[in-house]
Amino acid sequence: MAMAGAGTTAPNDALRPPAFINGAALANPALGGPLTVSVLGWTVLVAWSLAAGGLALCTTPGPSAGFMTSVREQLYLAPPARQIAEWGAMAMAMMAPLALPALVQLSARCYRPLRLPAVLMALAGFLVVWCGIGLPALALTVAARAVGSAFDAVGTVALLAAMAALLWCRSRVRIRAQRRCHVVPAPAGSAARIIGGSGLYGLRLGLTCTVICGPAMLALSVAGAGLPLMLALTHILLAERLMPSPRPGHSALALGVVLLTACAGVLLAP
Amino acid sequence: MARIRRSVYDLPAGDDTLDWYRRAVEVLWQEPISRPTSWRFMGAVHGNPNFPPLPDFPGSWDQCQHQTWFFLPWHRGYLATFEAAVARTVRQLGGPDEWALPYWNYSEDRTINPEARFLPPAFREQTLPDGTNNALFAPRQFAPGGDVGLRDQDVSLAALNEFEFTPAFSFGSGFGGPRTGFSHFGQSNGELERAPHNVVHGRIGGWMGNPNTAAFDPIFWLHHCNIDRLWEEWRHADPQQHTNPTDGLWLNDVTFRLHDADDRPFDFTSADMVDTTQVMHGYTYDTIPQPIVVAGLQGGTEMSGIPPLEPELAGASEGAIRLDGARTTSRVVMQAAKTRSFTESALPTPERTYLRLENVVGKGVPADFDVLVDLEGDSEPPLVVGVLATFGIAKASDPDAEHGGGGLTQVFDITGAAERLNLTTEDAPLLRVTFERVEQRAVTEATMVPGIDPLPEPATGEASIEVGRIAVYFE
Ligand SMILES: [Cu+2]
Repeated sequence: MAMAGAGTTAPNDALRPPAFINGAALANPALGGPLTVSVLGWTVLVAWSLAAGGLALCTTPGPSAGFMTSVREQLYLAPPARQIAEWGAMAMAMMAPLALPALVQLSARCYRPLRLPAVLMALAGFLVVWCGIGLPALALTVAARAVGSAFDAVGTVALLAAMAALLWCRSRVRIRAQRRCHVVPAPAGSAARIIGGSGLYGLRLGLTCTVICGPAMLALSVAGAGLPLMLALTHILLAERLMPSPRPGHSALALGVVLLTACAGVLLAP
Repeated sequence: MARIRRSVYDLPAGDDTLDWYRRAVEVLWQEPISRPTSWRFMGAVHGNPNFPPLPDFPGSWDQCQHQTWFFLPWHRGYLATFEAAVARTVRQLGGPDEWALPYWNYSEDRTINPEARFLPPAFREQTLPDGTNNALFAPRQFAPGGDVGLRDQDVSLAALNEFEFTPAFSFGSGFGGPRTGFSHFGQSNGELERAPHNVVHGRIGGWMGNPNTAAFDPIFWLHHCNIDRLWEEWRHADPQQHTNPTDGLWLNDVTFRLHDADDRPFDFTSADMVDTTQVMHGYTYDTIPQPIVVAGLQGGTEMSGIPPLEPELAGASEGAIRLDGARTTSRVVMQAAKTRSFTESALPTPERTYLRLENVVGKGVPADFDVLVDLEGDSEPPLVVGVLATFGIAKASDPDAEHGGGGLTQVFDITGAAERLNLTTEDAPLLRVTFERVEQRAVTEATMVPGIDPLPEPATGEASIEVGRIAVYFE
């Protein structure tokens, strides 16, 4: 598609509020739901980052040590339960807005009294997937950091993770998943079936979303980054989702800026 | 001086526009496929039947824009480059300098032109009177005397009553189609694209019935020329209301590439396509579009400055419906009494009622279906509300395509039928929706130009079609 692709989506177009956000629509649970969840997530993240010890997610990988020493250290600094809680808050903050366009479409296809329950079920399904991959994602993060630590190459490992996430932008699997995101469900049957079906739809949407955004999230958590970079990543992923035709090259470029900034933080750490 | 495109049925006696067209088609078929203005290359730009890709032209084929607001501007550019290539060939053959593509106005009043629904005579026969091959013939459904089976309802111009090119809500598709990025095949058709465009494709059938072969049939270009003319007609009918999108995404942000008469790349955006006199060589249509009287009050709310209400679901089928056989009946459970939000607003009854066929997915080239509605148990005959056109459904259902294979969504305004059936009243009737398969005739095989390799068969496989949900919306 290089040709048609010759067209570019101007960056300012991506930043313009999408057409469906208008006064009347803001009362819509499909907008209110994910936005509330996101604000809640950010509030928790900010609160924790201000508290003593800060966010484990945001720490730069520690100095060189043996693999097991590093693992123990990481788990000592922030117990697994705390890390998983942080991941959950991060998923709420960063990922809930990504569900918004799909939930608006779902809501428009539901009977009015069913909109709120259907949207909440779908959102719940979506977040369950994101929280569910928290454990493996954190295990991977801890392991990657420990490998970096053991080989005295925390920066290299962070860079490798970032490069993998950038290459992922061009993969067919990711592009296919992005396209799947645009399929709107047609909920049918009784109220119970519509609500249950919405939950399943949310699970599917969450899975698709982890395929699209998971690698970038993982790369960011391996490098360890502060809230500003997390906010920047959210912004890029959301802008990408709202583009009528995402451009893998552009996405990789924008993600590259964020992920490489995070890596620079690791490389330049004292 | 801009070229004037004329109605094929109004060409004066002795006019040689179509003779030159036929001769040019023959020449263009013989050009090597690697030449961008060859018949095979230009046809594959719309959809590639099964040609191996040309390494020198990556991304040049499978470009046609459907189910998107780029449908009209892309095809306008496509027609202009085609017209330029044919005109160049005609000139080289010793013909007139400024050959212009004629259009087939199949919607013309039959009291004025009794033949309007029939293929123009030059396209009907496989051989010419002298026994040689007619390059304007192509594999199509059996059409004795040019009668491809087009009925009045198939060529309805109801699309011209649409007020918006692209509607504010993602609900309908407006005149021109929904807001999307580059979209080879997508989700919902603009009204003009659905009918008469898609319906005419399906009724002619054969090559025309499949997007991957459609543009190889010479009638394709006269059909699309008419669709392009209807865009002009729509705009001229009400210059204040009927406006093209002003969104930068539509105007400038997506660039398409085709090739000009010299086989050089021709890049354009929709903004380059809005004024026909500025499109490549420039052209106009023979009839100055007359303002038409718009039936109904569809635009009433828009005109009074009140934003339109988002249509709301009032009833839906219990699940997906597979269309097997000649006739399939399904039910829509109306939930109007429980769900009507307009009772909360000042509106006592909905202004419009829509029947929407959502997530229609399919394989191969299924037939079209007439869509009829009635109430269960009543003695009245069902009312025809439109044609479910399936042109391009396989591409729209492909999970690898731009829209992830969500299929087609088609909207029919059934306000009149809903009133007759009391669908908008409190005591929620059960709406019966019937799909009647439109007759598919055998395709007449044909050799357009002797000695030329036949077109590779597109992989279609067995046809199937399923409607994801039938829904009734009130507005
Ligand atoms: Cu067409």
